[in-house]
Amino acid sequence: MKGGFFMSFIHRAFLYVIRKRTKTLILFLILLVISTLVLSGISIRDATETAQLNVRQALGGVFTLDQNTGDPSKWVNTEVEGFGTRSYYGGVPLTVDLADYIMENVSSIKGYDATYINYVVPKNEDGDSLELLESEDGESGMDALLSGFGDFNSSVSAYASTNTNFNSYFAGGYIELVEGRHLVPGDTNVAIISKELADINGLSIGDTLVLQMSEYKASMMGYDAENTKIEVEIIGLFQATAKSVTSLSNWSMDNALYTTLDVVRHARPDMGDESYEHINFYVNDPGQLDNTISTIKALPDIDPTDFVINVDSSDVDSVMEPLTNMDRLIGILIVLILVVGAVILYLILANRIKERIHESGILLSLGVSKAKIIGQYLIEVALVAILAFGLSVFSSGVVAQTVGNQLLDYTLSDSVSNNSPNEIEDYDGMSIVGSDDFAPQFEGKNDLTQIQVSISATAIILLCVAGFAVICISVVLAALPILRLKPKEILSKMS
Amino acid sequence: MSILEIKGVQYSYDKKKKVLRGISAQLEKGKIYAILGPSGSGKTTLLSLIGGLDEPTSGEIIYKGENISKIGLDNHRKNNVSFIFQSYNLIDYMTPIENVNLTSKLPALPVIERVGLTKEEAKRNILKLSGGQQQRVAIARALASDAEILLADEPTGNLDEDTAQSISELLLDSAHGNAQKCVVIVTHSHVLAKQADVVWHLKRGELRV
Repeated sequence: MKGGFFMSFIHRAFLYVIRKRTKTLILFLILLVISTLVLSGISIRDATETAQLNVRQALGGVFTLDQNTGDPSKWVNTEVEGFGTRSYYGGVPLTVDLADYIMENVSSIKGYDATYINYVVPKNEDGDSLELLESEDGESGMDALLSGFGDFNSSVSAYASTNTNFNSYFAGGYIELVEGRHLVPGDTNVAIISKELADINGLSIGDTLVLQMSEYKASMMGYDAENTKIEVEIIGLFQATAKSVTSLSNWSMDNALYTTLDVVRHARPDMGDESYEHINFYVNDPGQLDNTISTIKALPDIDPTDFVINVDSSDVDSVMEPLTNMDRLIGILIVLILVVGAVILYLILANRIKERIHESGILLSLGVSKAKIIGQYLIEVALVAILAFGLSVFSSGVVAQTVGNQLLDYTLSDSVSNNSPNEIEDYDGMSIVGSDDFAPQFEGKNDLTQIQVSISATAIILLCVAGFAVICISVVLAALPILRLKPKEILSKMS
Repeated sequence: MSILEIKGVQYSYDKKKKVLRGISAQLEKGKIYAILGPSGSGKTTLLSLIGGLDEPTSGEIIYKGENISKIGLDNHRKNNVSFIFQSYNLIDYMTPIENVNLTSKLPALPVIERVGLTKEEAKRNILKLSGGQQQRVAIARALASDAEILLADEPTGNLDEDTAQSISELLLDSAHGNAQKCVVIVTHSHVLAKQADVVWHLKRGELRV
């Protein structure tokens, strides 16, 4: 007969946990601290991994296709009557057709923007040059120098773009569209200008601008500036989200405009048949960059010697570096906590079981099997662990968020101080985006100031599995030396 | 009719020092056996072998015709024997009722009351009872078991004379009363031994009746 009043090992475990309150409380606190640290560690690591994924997906991967102008064999010299020899790059031009061919054949690319930069004078419908914004730094030496070159200092940067959605400044978040729409393939005679420029000139979406070559430049090059005039409709307004500096205030980002290559080519007939200068390709995941580039180089209609592919991962790197460092740090911390926690737990349980050699002997003499004695000890710890693990879900929520942000602060400051000057170009505290000599330079933009830590079900399951595994191993290991003895030997030790 | 048979049992530590030398005996229900002998003569060892706390170096312990090694020592201890130790061996975080329930399949309180504890004492923590009361609980635990053999190792060793006498009466009753248990007592007490049905003298590992 097994039923009746015969006390089961589960009942004994309950009694021990309830009656030995001090021992239970000590074990509970130790398990709570260990489980809170482990759960916090797992949650912070999950949060950094999620943040890494989000950053990668948000920033994407960018690479730029440039003409291989460094290869002298690609240059062609022609005799121009009256001007002597003229050299031009004779390699394959960067065209929309080329970009479309690559897009069609490489699935990991989500979009591209082919760009070309030149300088035009913008005027309103009345033919008056637009009032331009002065840079905050005041007139530079270059500004003063150009003041004697007629309307040259009325010229602004004109970015010929095929799709401003994928323009490096827009995609990098340095400027954002605040009104209207982006410039997309198929657009013609349109422009996007800065909201500030529009405001001081009383312009809005739908208004018309006239773009032309500067009269000073036209007269120098023998063009009639009147013939370079072209009307464009304002379809969008942008605003800078990061501070930028430029050598000339009239070529600053606040005065810049985005339009199409046809418009720029009309306003600047001196550029001839030049193709786009760069094509920026965007891939969904920076992790796919290497494969994507390899695929492009292997395309049958592409001669890799015609182009140079540059990977710009500075945006991703600047955000990912602290997260990667933190991920590594947390990984080490989790292992340390697990190892130290397991050792502490083993020592405590070993001591606890050693103290109970008397009880083990009594139970063995009463015919209780060794398996049931171990089972009782396991259940006792498991009962306390369930409470501790349960409470750690709440305590680790607070600990993980606080520790996570502090670790992020630490890794952010660490990654800033460890930046090699060769990796990111610094200029008076600004990180340089874009390589054109007169292109605006934006301050490095890093919005990652905190991570969102939450305690996931997976983390809790992981804690429970790891925790109970450690408990089982610790209890069995701790009980083995005693339970290997014969009951008589245990009873001898007791006496 | 014998309930347990000891057949040529030898026991030695590290196969060198022989503690028991070919002991043979038979135990019957309803009888009290007292084992006397000087310290180190092997009294407790013999009790341990009968109770399945250890295994003999050679020979057999046969319970109702079956070697207890074949029954399984855990099973033998659980179902066939119950122990009373000099140091009581009660579990300190349990009440007397709970200690008795470790072996009892029936309500514990009547058994505890039978050995002289009150209902209130039966619910106290073990450590709040006197030595005599604790030994009574140990006896109650042994009596409450279904086991037909009761093994007692110096059950009155730590008790005063009056308490020892009342404990002795309980042991006598468990053998000669309704329970009809086979009681084996290891003791130095000649008073207790005089009340036994059979007295064994153990000297230099050999048993003499």
